[in-house]
Amino acid sequence: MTSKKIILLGKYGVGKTSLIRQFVYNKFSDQYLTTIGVKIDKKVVSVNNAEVNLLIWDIAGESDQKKVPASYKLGSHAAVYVFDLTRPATYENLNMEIAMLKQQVPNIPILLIGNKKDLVPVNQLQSICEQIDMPIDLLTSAKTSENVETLFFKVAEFLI
Amino acid sequence: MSRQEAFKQLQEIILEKEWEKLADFQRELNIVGDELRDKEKLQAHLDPILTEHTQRLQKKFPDLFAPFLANAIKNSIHDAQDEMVDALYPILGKMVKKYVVRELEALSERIDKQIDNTFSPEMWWNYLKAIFTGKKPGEVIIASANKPVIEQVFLIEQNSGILLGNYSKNEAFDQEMIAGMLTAIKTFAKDAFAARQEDLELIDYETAKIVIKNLHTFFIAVVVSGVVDKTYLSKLDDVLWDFTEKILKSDQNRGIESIDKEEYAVKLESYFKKL
Repeated sequence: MTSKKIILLGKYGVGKTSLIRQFVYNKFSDQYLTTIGVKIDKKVVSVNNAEVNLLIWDIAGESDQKKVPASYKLGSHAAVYVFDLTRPATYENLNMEIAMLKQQVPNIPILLIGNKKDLVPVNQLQSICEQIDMPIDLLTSAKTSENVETLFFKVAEFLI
Repeated sequence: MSRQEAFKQLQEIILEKEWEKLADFQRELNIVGDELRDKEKLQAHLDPILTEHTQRLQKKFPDLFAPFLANAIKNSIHDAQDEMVDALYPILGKMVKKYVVRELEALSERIDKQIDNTFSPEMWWNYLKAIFTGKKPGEVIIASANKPVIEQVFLIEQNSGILLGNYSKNEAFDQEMIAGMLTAIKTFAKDAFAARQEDLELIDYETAKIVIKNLHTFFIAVVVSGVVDKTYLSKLDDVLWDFTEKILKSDQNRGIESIDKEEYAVKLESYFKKL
């Protein structure tokens, strides 16, 4: 079974840890505990009859990617960039953030995820997505678990 | 005078004093009854008695109750040993640690003194060993009593932190997560001190050391418990180089990532267990 390193990035409080917690432990908590440095979790997923051991690095959110230690990103096989649909500050400058990520870890799949979908009224989702001039891969909710499994299975599919 | 009147008169003569006593007794009884029913009066009577009794009890308390209390405490401790251990462990742990450290230092000093006055071949051998290694004689003796033991060995891919193989005496925690976190610590240290272009080579715990050997695409982390001195570190370094030269270099041609973890577990064990 192959092991792959996945990194979760994005500004603080966007729900990276909650997404991982929901995916790995099927749990969600409203309590916000900031991640210090990095936290690693793992889960084996089975995609197209092949098993992949996902080592998920939950990297502490910063105000911008320049502040995230580049070494945490090295050796990654895929990256997930998470933003908060309810906080515009978390999806401003997305182009620059993703460009920087591509420079630091070239040639890996990068998924763009809008989280906290449960907090946005359905009629406002469209207008939020239109403000982002990049293709969004998935809209998720760590709270309701909507699209959380789909996200990590999608990552695994890229890696097989 | 009829017989009945005569009998009554006789009764009065004989029982007069008794009736008077009875009337007095009834009066006193009424007074006592009143005082018992009146809280303040009763308190006035009882207070001095109770105070005196309490004072006497205080004086005699240790003699009267100490054995019962001791037994009760003993039983409570016996019935709730786990709770007691939970409560005392952190405090005792620190105390024991401090005590052990202090005692080891004292032991080292005592041994030094003893060596100065002893001419046994073993002592001479330790003494000579200390001279040649540049250590204190006490350190040599303690080190020989608390030999280093390899607890875990990890072969980890640089950057990704993916565990390629490991040997562990007892797997208490997820080895892949340990490998990931070791990588994170290592890479963080490298980032933090980027200007020095150096690598993290040793993590020093109180009772164990993690020795890290950095290779180009991998690193090996060895967790060693016991007294790890420079001689042992040098020996460990030799084994690490040997393992790198004989195993890793030849495996690199096959592609290390494709090699089974179990295979590496056996290789690591055979190499590092002999240390």
